[in-house]
This record gives sequence, C-alpha cells and structure tokens, in this order.
Amino acid sequence: MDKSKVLELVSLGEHIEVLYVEDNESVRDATVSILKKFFKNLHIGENGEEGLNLFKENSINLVITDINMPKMDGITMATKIKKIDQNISFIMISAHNEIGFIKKSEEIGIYNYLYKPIDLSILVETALDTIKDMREHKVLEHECS
Amino acid sequence: MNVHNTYYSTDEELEQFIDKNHILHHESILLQIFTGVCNKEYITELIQKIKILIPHVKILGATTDGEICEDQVTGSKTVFSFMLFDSTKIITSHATGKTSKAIAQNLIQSFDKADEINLLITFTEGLGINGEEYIKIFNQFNSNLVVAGGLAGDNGEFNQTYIFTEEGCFDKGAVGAAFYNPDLIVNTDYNFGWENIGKVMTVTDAKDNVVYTIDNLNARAVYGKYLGQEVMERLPTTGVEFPLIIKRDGMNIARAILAANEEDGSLTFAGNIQTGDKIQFGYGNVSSILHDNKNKYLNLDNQPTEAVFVYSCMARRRLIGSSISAELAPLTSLSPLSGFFTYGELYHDKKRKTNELLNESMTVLTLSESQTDCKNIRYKKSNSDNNLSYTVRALSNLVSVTSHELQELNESLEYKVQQQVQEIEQKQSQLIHQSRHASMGEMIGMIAHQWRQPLSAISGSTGLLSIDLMMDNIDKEAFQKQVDLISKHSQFLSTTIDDFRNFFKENREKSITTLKDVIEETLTIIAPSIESKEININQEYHCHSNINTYPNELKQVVLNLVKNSIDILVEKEVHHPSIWIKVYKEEKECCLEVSDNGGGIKKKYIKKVFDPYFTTKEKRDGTGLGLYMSKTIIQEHCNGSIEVENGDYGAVFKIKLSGTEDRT
Repeated sequence: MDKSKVLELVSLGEHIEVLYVEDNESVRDATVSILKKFFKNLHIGENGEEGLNLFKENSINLVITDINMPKMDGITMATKIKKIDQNISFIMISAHNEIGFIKKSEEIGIYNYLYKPIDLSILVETALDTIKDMREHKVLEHECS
Repeated sequence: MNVHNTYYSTDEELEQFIDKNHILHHESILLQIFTGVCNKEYITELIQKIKILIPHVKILGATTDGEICEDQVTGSKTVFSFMLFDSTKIITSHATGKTSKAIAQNLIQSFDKADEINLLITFTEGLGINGEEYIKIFNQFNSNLVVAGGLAGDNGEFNQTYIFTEEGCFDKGAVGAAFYNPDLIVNTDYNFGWENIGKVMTVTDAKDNVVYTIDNLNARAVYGKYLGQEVMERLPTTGVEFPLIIKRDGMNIARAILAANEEDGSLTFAGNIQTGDKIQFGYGNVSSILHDNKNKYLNLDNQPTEAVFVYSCMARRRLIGSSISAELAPLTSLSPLSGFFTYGELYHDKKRKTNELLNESMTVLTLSESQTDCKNIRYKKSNSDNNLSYTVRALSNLVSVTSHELQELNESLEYKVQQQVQEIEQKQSQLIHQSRHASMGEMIGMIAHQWRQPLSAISGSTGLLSIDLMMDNIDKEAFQKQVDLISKHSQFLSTTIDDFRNFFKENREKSITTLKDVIEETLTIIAPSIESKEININQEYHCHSNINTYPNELKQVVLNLVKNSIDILVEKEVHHPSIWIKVYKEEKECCLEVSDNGGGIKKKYIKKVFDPYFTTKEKRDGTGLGLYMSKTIIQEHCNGSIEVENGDYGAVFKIKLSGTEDRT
C-alpha cells in the first residue's frame, strides 16, 4: 500500500459525503472501520431501500454499495439514484458470483467496482480514481454553468 | 547254448534227467531254481544234492509265489532250469547290506571285472528290500548293463523268502549271476496291460514308497472318491486290480498297493513314488490283458532266441487266476521257457538305457549265444467276439475324454474368474480413490468457506493498523484491540483445520460412541453451510445406547446424507427448508433417520440411488459416489443396513446399527 496515496485519500476524503450500503453485518462493520479512516462523513445503510432513503435525506457525493442485497439490490438502487441526480459517483462491490454485473453497471454509467473481500490497496486506488473523476466533472460543470 | 527245464520230483528222476541231457559235459552251467517250498532246510539239502551230482554247477534261485515251466503255472513246486553255455562265463555271488542301495553296491563290487558283465540276473529278498532303490544303483554303475530278475516270493504269506546260490541259502540280501560274453544276445520286454483311466492327478505328499496325499487329498480317500467306498475299504486287495500308474518319461509304471492306512489315509506301495509324480488309476481288465495281442513283445519277435525267462508279478497271477498260462502261450514257441512269480520285477529298458522296478508286470528275458537262430512269436488270433474288452476300452475312452474336457473347462473358468476378479478389484479401488478425491474436494471447499470470513477480518484488521501507522495515529488501545482480533481469528483458522482433519481421518479401530455424538459433531462441521442457507435442523434423540463402531466413517455418512438434503432444498428453493434427524431404538437395533422436505426421490430412481456413479444433481459436484460409499461403509464396516423411502414431505434415509450396551 502506498503511503502517499493513503494520505492523499485521507485528505480528499475529509470533505465528501459518502453513503455505504451492505446487508451482511460483519462485512459491514469491518468495512465501516476502514472507511471511517478516510471519510469523516459516512452514512450507513443495510439494504437498497434504506440506502435510497438515506440518499434522499442527505447530500451524498459518493455511493459505495454491495450488489446482492434484500429488499432492493445495489444496481436497482443505483439506477434510481441516478434518476434523481446523474452526477453521483458509484463504486459497486461484488462477491464474484453476480453474473453480468459489470455489464449492467456500465449500462447505467458506472465503471468502478471492487471485489469482496475488499483489498485495502485496491480500495484506496479505486476511491482515489473515483473522487478525482468526480472533481474533474464538478470543475467542468462549474465551468460550464 | 542249450536249455533244459523240468519239475523236481525225486532224486532219481533228477539224476536221469541230468544224464539224458548230457548236462555234466558242459563246463559252464547255470542252474536257475524256482521253488514254492519256502523252507531253508529243504533248499539247503537240495543244493547239496545237486553239488554232489554236478560239482561245478552255478546255482541261482529264489522262493516264489508260483513257478513257471513252459506253459504250466504251479504253486509250491520246484522248477529247475539248466542253462548249458558254450561261450559264456558265469559267476554267482551273494551280498547283504544295511540299505537296499548298499546291497546292490556290495553285489556288483563282489564281481571281478564288473564292467565286462553283459547281463546280471538277480533275485533279492522279497520283503525288507526297496526294489527301486536297489535297481537304481545298477543304472549308476553302467547304463548298458541289462539287469533282470525279481524279488523273491513266499506264496503270499509275506513271512519269509529265500534266495540262494551254490554257496548256500540266504534269507537276506540279494544273489546274482553275472554273464560274461560280449556276443551274448539279450532282449527284454514286458507286458502290463492295465489301462489308464480317469483324470491325471498329482502326488502332493509322498516319502519313499508311502503316499500321503494326492491332489492335496488324503490318498486312501482319493480311492474312495473316484472308485467308491467298496474299493477303498477292501484295499490293498482291490489295489491289485486298480494300481496307480505313474507316467515317467513316456513309460507307464505301475505301483501296487501293499498296505492302506485307515488312520492317516496313507498308502504304501511296492516301489517309490515321488511328490510331483503324475499319476492315474490303472484298471486291470483280464480279458483285454489276455486277449489283446497287438504290439506285444515286439522287442523279442524275430530275434535270435535260445532261452526264455519270465519274471512275472504275483499280483498278475492272483488277478488273472487260472488263465495266466494264456499269457505265456505266445512265448513258448520261441524256446524253452521258465520263470516265476515275484514280489516285484526288475526290468531293463534298452531304449532308455535304464533299469526299473516294475509292479504287476510280466517281464521277459531272452538270451542267445547263437547270432542266427531267429524265432518268431506265434501270436494268437485276437478274439474279435470279445465284447467285454471292447466295452471296457470304450468306457475307458469316455472317462478319459470327459475328464479331459472337464479339466480344460476348469482351467478356462479359473482364468476367466481371475480376470473378472482383477477387473472388479481395479474398479473398486478406482471408485474408492475417486470417492476419497471427492471427499477431499468437499472438505477443502468447506474449509475455504469457513476460512473466508476470518481471513477477511484479519485482512481488515491489518489494513486498519497499516493506515493508522501511515497516519502516525498510534493509539495503544486501538492497536491492542486489532491485535487481539487478529489473534482470535487465527485461532479459529487453526481450529477449523483440526476439526476437519479429525473428521476425515480414517478410523483404524472401532471405538464406543453414541449416535447423538456422531450427529452433533457432524453438524458442527457443516454448521456454516446450514446457517447461510437458513435451513431448519430438527434433532430428536430417543436412544442413547453406546455403539461400537468407526465414528469418523459414520460421521461421513451422516455428512453425506445431510449435504444431500441441503443440496436438494437449495436446488428446489423450498420454502422453510427443514431437515429432521431422529435417533431411536427398533428391536435391539439403533436407528438413525435423516429426512427433509425436499419433495422426495422419483420412483424410477429410488432403487438406484445407492448405485455408484448415479446422481440426480444437475450441478457439477454430483459425483454419484456419496450414497454408494455411505452404503459400503454402513454395510461392510459398521455391519448395519441403510435404506431409503419417500415420506410425507421428502426422502427418508434410515440407518440400522446393532448397539452394545444401553445407557438409557
């Protein structure tokens, strides 16, 4: 793991609002401990429905979500969120057994994903990439408007 | 040379006989005496009388079980056979010895220039000698030496025999007359006539002349098995009609039975039989023996012949009875003939250059000093109306061919069975191998499943620690917490390995356990799979008996059954998936039932589920071996039974085992 990248993520992560959704309790707790190191503003949901509600009640910048969940799965939730605000960034988390999730994600414009069990260095890299993309987009937007 | 044969009746008649035939004038005289009077004094007196009459006579004699003079056969009489030689030197001798071999060695060594002897006629004591050992010594000495003669008899008393020369009458050892004449024409032949009948057997245990087992069966019992109880019980008498025929170097040698031991089933023969000898029963058919003239005495036909001596077997005389003289008839046309019935015949086979002890045979010796006096055997026309010998030959052929076919069939069957057994054993070991493989695969899968979460947790902890380090965020309490977590998870990983190792270790010995323990330990292993699929497990224990069995093998069976239930419940996506495990007692047997609500097994498959390679699982992990191995384990290792039937909600597997004690 690259120390500089870790510090960079810590610095960038301070100012963004993150939504994390995961149905499995132990996985969720473990991941939350890690995410909290980077993201001071972390909202936690247990399923797609809850995640959607949390999104509506807060101004979220980045959604990190599991795909396979009860009540509403990750892709469905992402689709609905995008309908509300298409500029939200996503990182999908897959357990390796979801067929075709990459294609489904790409169909709704999501290109970043992680595999479970989460490898910390990959998480750092992916998060950095996603956040940088988001900022670029924001700058463009800012410039355009 | 001249030969004059006569019966001895009175001294006067003897004197006249000697005069009439000008016997005294010859320098080289050998007188063979065959007497049925087994009395030492009588014989000794006789010898004295003759020596007075013919001082330079050489005598060679023996007591008999019947005497032969021309075509007459008598008993308890005395036959004189004078041989008057022109060009042959005769030396007689007597020898004794500690063993039969020693007697032969001593005899041959007692002759001067023994290597120049052309023919040795020898008579030995009838009872204590091993004729085979005796005669074999002469083979070692000179394979070209023709040995003829036999073992002295005593009218079937088996009490005391005598052999004698001009030196005296002896009750032990052997006497011999050595003939020195390089131009002496000597021919030998023999007649046997017993037919080989039945299958070829092997002598499996014999020592000297006693046979203990044939084809690994008690020798006496073998007679009973093939020839019937009556023959067996009347041995050795019936042994004359049914001797054993040994096949050696293309020659059929008969061996007569002297005694049959009821206790150890051994048979004693009149000659040595070796372990490994191939033997058959011989059947003595009198008609065929007497009337079959073909190929008889071919060695003697059309040869220079001036004297004929017959040394035949007492068994023959007793079997053939009064018709025995019919055997002699063809030979009397050759030359003056005499001889006697012995307790064993000594025969020289010119072709094979060996001397043999024969039994139940008639050996014939012809001599001639003249090179040109060829004589022909007058064969009697064979009696073509003799249906009996034709019948016997046909039956004998039938027995022989059938025996042969049976033997061939047996051999090919044996081979086929061997092949099949090998194939099956190979398949079995393949199956076991595959099944073990599958088991191990499953085990690794289960370990992986159990390890995923703790590994992930360890990874998470180290990640957190790493980040804190990078951020210089060093909080001792937080660190300690993470370190403890890592430790705890590592422990769990190790325990998992141990659990599985123990579970899958092969049990070498039985141990005592209860079905409840077996089931609970199995469920521990499989717990994660059950929890993650939210399957309901119901356990009912009505019997707590101890059972003496192989616990791990039993656990594997339970694991197999429970896993099958889990698989079907998942595949069919059953609502409220449930598995019931019940332990109860049924008529002294402990029963274990595993059932589920998976809907049951299709009727057409239910009988096949225990077959190897049978599976209804669509996924790749259905090897079809689980139930087959379970059944093998239950039936063969645990001595129990396993069956399946469809219950109200799904399949019900029932295992029955016998308990040892009751703990309830």
